[in-house]
Amino acid sequence: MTHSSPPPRGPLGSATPNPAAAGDGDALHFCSTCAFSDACSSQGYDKTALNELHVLVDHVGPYHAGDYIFRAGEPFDSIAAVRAGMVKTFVDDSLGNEQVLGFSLPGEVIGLNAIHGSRYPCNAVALDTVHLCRISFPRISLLASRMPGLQAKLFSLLSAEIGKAALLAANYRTEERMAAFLLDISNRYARRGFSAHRFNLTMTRTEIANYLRMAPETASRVLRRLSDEEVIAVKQREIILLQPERLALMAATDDANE
Amino acid sequence: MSVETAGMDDATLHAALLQQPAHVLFPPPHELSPGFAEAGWRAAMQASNEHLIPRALTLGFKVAAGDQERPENLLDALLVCLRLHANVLAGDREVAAMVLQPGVAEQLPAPLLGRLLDAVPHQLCTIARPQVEVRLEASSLVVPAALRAVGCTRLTVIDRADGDGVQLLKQGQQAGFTACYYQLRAPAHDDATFLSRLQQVLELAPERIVLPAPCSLPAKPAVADWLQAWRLLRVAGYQALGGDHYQRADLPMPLRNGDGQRHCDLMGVPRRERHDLLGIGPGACSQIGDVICRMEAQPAHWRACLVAGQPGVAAGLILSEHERMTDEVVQSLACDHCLDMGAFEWRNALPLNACFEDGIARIALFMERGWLRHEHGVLRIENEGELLWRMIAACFRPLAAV
Repeated sequence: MTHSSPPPRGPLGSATPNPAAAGDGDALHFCSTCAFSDACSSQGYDKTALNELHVLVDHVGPYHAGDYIFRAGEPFDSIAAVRAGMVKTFVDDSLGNEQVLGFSLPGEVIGLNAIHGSRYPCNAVALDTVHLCRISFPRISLLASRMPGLQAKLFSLLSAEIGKAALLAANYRTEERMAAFLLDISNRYARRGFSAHRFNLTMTRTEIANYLRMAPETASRVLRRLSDEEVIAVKQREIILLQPERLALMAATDDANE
Repeated sequence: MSVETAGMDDATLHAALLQQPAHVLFPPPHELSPGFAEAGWRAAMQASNEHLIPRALTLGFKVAAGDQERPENLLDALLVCLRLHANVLAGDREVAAMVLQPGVAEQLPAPLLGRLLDAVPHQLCTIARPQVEVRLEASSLVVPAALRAVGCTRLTVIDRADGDGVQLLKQGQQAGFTACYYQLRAPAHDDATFLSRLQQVLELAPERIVLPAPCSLPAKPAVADWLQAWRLLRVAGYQALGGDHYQRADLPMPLRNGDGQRHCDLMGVPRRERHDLLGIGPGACSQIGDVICRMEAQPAHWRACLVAGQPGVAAGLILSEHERMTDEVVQSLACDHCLDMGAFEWRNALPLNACFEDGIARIALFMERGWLRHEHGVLRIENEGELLWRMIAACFRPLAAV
């Protein structure tokens, strides 16, 4: 997507023009991680054309680890595609405990769950240095009404958002949940052109365990067991899938987050 | 067995030995900042709990030389410090190794030492059989069998011209330690028996012999003997294990492929994988993730901190991103004597040449001398480079102190 000039400021943070990370787009080409590029390109729209349609797209960031991107209850006016880094979304329960809702990788979109209610229902925090593409939701909705491909993409993203709960909804065993989680991350990286078998997990074990509804010690124990059985290799934050087919057999569902 | 050589003359090697930097594995102690507070230590401990599979722990117990405190009080202080550490560690952090630094076995009689070792599994998880290494100066009067009886599993005898290290090593081997090591010091020019002592040690064939480190040199070092010690080790079949450690030929050697897995800790011990090292005692150093810190060196100050409920952190350093990458490179060269540049680049998503442009330029000299080879994306230390690994590693840490 494109960015406007001068960079505006808004609820998603101060804008930084042309950040180095994932800034491989230009006036006529999308960034390699752009969530919407396939939808727009397939319809014959380039970035100049989008500009003419007054689509407001800003490159914002960098957000550093721990920086809030949005907070629960803030008015919703835009969604954001992650260009680089990883974002954690979470809510605080009635006792003030954090409940992790998910992790968004480059090319994925955050804020879609705020469409209903017009306020963000959760918090979003950068887990490392994050750059975003902020997209005005009213304007992209308008654009989608003219671009069937973009509309289909939006519906697809919304459908994926609904499906996110599937992994956690059933009473799967801890090993199944972890296997499904690792495969899900692997698939998501692969879709963006990154390695499917070797990737870094930026989140802490407490965050992963919270997301998978297990104790941090259990998360480590399961990872250690998978490592001992040479299904995966864990080197600090790096995960290598040594036997992805075995991992798939362990997983509770083929692609719970699709 | 012959010794690999690049054909360098001894005079050049002698000069190179003396020019080695003392602190290449870690920043020198004076770089630790006194502004590093207790909160920094606590944050590092909490962050270390959050690894996907948290690192194993090594406990390094230390006492101050000449501390006149009663042994019972000394033990109590060490136990309090251990508990303060345990309080901020996740419940599943496991102790894999313990090291009793020189002086601990002398200042704590064997029954008290036994109480210290017994206290560890009450405060922290341990693996099934944690290593307990005790280090004795060659002049020590402690009986190795008494240390074995209270649970020490490894003995390191530290060579001294004025002590009978050979006899101590022999006692250790007879006491049934699972492994005995002999650590050499850089010999002084008037130490006429250095090489004959080494010959006697080689006859006893300890599992490891540790070459001298340049951090404490005598006023007039006998460099020729130092070089000869390395040659004798190699002729006897001892193989470089990482750092200054050489292992007996019949023992299995670890895979040393330069992939950044193996790690030398702050005490210079190469390990299969990186541990978090918790220093316990006055002046003890810790490495927790990318944080290095040191406790109060003055025993009285340290004990006052314990009374206040703090472990007594006096100074520390948080490695920057570039220092962390430097650490990766230096550790690979130290522990594996090689560096897999592809593995480094994948882990850091950065080309090595871009990160260490000057370092890459500096190693050219060592390649010319035949001490370093570049093959299929792997830098490999060879020949006498094995003895001079610090100089090669220092190309990537140019501020290493000489």
